[in-house]
Amino acid sequence: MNAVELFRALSAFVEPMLLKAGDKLFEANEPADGVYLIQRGKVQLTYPNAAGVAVTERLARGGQILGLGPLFADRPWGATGEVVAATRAGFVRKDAVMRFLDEHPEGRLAVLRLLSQDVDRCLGLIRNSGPLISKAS
Amino acid sequence: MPSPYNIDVHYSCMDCLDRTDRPFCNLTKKTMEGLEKIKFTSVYPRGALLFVEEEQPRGVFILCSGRVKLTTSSSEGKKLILKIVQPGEVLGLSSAILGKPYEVSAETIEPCQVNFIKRSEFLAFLNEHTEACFHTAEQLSEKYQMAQREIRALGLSSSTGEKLAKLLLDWCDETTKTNGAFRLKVVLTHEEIAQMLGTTRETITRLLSDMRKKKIIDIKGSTVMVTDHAALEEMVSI
Repeated sequence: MNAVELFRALSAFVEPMLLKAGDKLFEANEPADGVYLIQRGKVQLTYPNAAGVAVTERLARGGQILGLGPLFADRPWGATGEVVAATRAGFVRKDAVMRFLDEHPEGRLAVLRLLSQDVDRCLGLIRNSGPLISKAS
Repeated sequence: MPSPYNIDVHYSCMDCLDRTDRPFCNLTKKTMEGLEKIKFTSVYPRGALLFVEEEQPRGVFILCSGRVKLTTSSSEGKKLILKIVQPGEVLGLSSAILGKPYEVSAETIEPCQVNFIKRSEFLAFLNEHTEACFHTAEQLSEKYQMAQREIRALGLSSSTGEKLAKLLLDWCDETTKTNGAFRLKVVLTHEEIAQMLGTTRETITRLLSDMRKKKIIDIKGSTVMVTDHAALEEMVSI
């Protein structure tokens, strides 16, 4: 099962919602009790900090799943997800995700690949942030 | 029994007393038996490279004892220490799963026991054992969160003094507390601390000296005693 197939399979459990630009899908440090499937539109993931500098991790688009990291680490949202263009999204509760993965071994490997991509993307971002690091020091 | 670098080597995971406290290793007997069949136990001295940035992934490395530093090179060619890995963590996971080159380099900073698993065998193991898959997901999620914290810190305009205070506070925990002070065994050199904070060795030496003069810390060899925890907290604004 690849990421697209996992997205399709999880879509069967969604509670759909329509959002407009400026809406917050979730905020950093809020409890994460499920994942969001972005069916259409754009959601920007940013890390706000005390210095008032928002660092953007990525722009999530249709077909992407948000929230696997907090779900498996059993931690709150690490970033804020803000809608930047009209978006149709669906929420899948944690228990439904876990039940699905219990029953579908191929889905588990797809999840590991998505989580690995999240880790790699962040590490790439850190590596390419030389000027920011210099500024901070 | 004599062992390389005087470390207590556990050749069988079943006999490891620490495994129930370690999220990845805390596996049921059946899954652990599967892991035993595919892992190779090795012992490394300080300064050994387990893998390097851009290398094709050979497999994953379970850190059983000792500590490892993870480094990356910035686009400006600056070496950055991303993390000091503690025993129980699995290294090289995301690259092994994706089949992409390692994003970081891993170097031991003290003698270590490492259990290595070849990539193909690790993927087959995950396919076969649901439990291992969930433990791996948890490990990856922790790494994701760690990287997110690092990114968040990149945008901060905090001073190097503040960052050093934060690092020392991160190292202080109940296990290091004795008679109201925190005794930290620091295995990193000033150069390595500088690489963690994105600054120079000279700055770290000067800041530690300043903290010592203000009696916030005391330094004896590689041991740092944090004598005024509250003063360190005051230096950190976030």
